[in-house]
Amino acid sequence: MENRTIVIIAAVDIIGILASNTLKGNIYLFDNNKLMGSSGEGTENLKTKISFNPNENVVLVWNVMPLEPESFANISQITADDKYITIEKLKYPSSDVIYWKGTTIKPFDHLKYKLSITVGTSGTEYSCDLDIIGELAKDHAILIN
Amino acid sequence: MSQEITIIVLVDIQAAIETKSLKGNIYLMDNLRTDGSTGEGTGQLITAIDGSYWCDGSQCCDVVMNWLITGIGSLPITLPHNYYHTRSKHIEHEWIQSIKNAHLGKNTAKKETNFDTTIIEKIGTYSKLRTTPNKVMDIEIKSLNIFGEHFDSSQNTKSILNLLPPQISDITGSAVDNKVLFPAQYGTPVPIKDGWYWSATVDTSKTGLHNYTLHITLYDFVDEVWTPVELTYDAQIKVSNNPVRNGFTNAGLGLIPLMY
Repeated sequence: MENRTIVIIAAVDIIGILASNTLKGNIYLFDNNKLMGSSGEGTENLKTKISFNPNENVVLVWNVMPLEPESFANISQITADDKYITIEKLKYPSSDVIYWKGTTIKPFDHLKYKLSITVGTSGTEYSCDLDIIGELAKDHAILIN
Repeated sequence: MSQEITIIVLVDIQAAIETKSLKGNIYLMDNLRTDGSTGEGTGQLITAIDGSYWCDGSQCCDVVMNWLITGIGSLPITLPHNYYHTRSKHIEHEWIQSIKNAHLGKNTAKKETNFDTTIIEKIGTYSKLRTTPNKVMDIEIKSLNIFGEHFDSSQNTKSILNLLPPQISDITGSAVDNKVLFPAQYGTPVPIKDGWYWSATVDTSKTGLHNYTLHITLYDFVDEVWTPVELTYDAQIKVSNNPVRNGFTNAGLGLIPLMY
């Protein structure tokens, strides 16, 4: 089955972050792959499930969404092992709105990554650790390793 | 003076369309966890609504709620509200330029024979929306992919199609029937939700748990036509007579009694 491009949304309670100076309890993560096995939707421990088809890179897109639409939040960095994934900061064309795009390089079982966010005009960076769980597409399980 | 409450409604559009249900595929969040809202980030959000009170404890005024709906897999709501239109215009402009350049280049005679077909191929057609089971109309936007570029179904896989964002079409339920919630759709200059959003005032004298129903329209891309899928979802508010809290000064999360 062809891979759906995975979109990951980090919804952030900016007032909560500024009041408590932490992402903990103030970030909710979602992706559009729960039907295929992602877990932890709506929590700060999202585990995004992806499946690898041979010769096909999986593309992931990250966006941030402030819970108060008038306030500002920004993904300042996403870091992961660059042996497995290339991560780029990009801009939607004809706009100033940033998104982050990840393209897998080779299959993996489990990839941890760090998502960093800045809010409002404060330059403080807040981070959390998240997971991508990989599996080989069922039809191609024989190709593992 | 009223407090504004924002409820973000996130829909896993593809999953909701595939399972024909919002159950398990909708997530609600508000900015009131500190006031006692529960179920943040789940489909079982109960929004805590504290009344505004005079310092003697008597009822002061109503509270305003706003709903913002978006899809996981749709372009983010942080983009300007006219983004679909401006992108469609930009894409057309770029294509017209590229056709002009090709046309003015070498082998003009050969290009000219294909000019009309090239133009239609390049400019493409507008997206189509099914308005009734038997009627399809053009809408003045092009289909985009999730990176904001033109989506061409002959070249792109559906996995990168930007799903049209869901819309709230009505808010009903016992909270509305019992005159706790007074919902309506409003226009806004703020760049969200295409200039429209749903809002409601709450009669905070009616304390307790109240149910309301969100009527949500999703758009499925069937044979190149955006086809509405109408679904509903039940949500709750819990109105209490706790005073509104203060989160904006160095006084901490204190209470705000209103002075006479």
